Amino acid sequence: MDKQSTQKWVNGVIALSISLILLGIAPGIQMRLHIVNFISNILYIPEYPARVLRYAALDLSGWFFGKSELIQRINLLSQENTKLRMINSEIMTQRILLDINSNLESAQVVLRAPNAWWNELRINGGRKDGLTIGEAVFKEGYLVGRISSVEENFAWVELITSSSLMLPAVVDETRDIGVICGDGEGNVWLQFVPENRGIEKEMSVSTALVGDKLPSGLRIGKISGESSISPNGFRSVRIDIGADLSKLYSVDYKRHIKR
Amino acid sequence: MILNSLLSWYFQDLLAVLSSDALLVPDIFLLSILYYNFSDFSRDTEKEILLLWISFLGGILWDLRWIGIPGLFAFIYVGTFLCASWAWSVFPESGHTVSMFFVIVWLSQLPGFFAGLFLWNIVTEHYFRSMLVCQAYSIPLSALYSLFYARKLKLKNV
Repeated sequence: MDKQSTQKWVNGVIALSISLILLGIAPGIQMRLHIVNFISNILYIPEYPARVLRYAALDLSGWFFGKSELIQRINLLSQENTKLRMINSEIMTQRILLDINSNLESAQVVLRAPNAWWNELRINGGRKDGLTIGEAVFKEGYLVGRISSVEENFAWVELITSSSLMLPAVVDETRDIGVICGDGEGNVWLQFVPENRGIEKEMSVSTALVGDKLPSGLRIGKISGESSISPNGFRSVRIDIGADLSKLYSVDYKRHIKR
Repeated sequence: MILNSLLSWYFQDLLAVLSSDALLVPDIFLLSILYYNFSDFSRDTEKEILLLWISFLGGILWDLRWIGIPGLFAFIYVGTFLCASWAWSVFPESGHTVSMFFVIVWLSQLPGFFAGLFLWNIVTEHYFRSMLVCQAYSIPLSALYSLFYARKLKLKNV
């Protein structure tokens, strides 16, 4: 080993020794922290471009991830909101039905003309029984029609299968609102439903709010699955009505429906 | 040479600021020091000693900036520099090929990496990933410096 090479190795050993000594004594020296802070302060300005770039990258990634997280939260809240609305609607329906069922009065069907078989019928309850125009009439808990005219001792009921009776209705599961209307031949259709709304067979249909005499939540029937598309892009869905209108010997009514 | 070493230290520092794993950034400073040492075909010992002390000061500065305890990276840089110099000197001048240069500078990245793992107390399951990250930068960087060396070697032989 020549002299110059020895000199290099001596310097190397000295540098390594200083490093080890520093490593050994530095943790116990308070001055070390001041030096570290001093170095950091000096380097603060030269490091500024990298720091700006890092914060910009973090902000950008935060913006993207934050946005997707926000969308997920909105979707989750939307689902929760739909569930709550359905539960609320179910509670309201149950209250109304409880109220109706506890105060029902029955009336006999006294006239059902063959030429207006699916349009109207006459019952033996009238003004003396407290019936008023517009009141709902039920059978087996399902809406069958509403009072169209009242006399002292009898009243006429317009059936939901009538083509002249149009009532707002809602699909309970999807909360889509349409109008129910009969075709005068025993069928009832839910009309003006937008396409691709996920309305499926067996979903229940009930009244939407019309007025105090015909509150929301009165059960009408269920989606049958049969549907047709109108030229203006709306869908009509046939409803299997809950009440059997073929065997209608009596109907139920309530004078004052409290919500 | 001193200015270039300073710039390489500064570049390594900028990478550490940008990166979330400050201790796993490539040792560009050490690579530059080794490059200047090996590409000095005059074998000037004084210059070699100067590079040794530059690596020591660079290590001290790195410790004070990122580790908080001076001496650790100074020891690693000086130790690696001496080991690499010894390995380089073992081979005759005809053996100072680009591939040999590549192997030595690539291996010189490992002590700093293992020190980083030790300091960060990286658990076993992240060890493999950290190793991959280390290789992902150390191999291209070593290749890049090997290209510089090849260029200088070519100029020398012209």
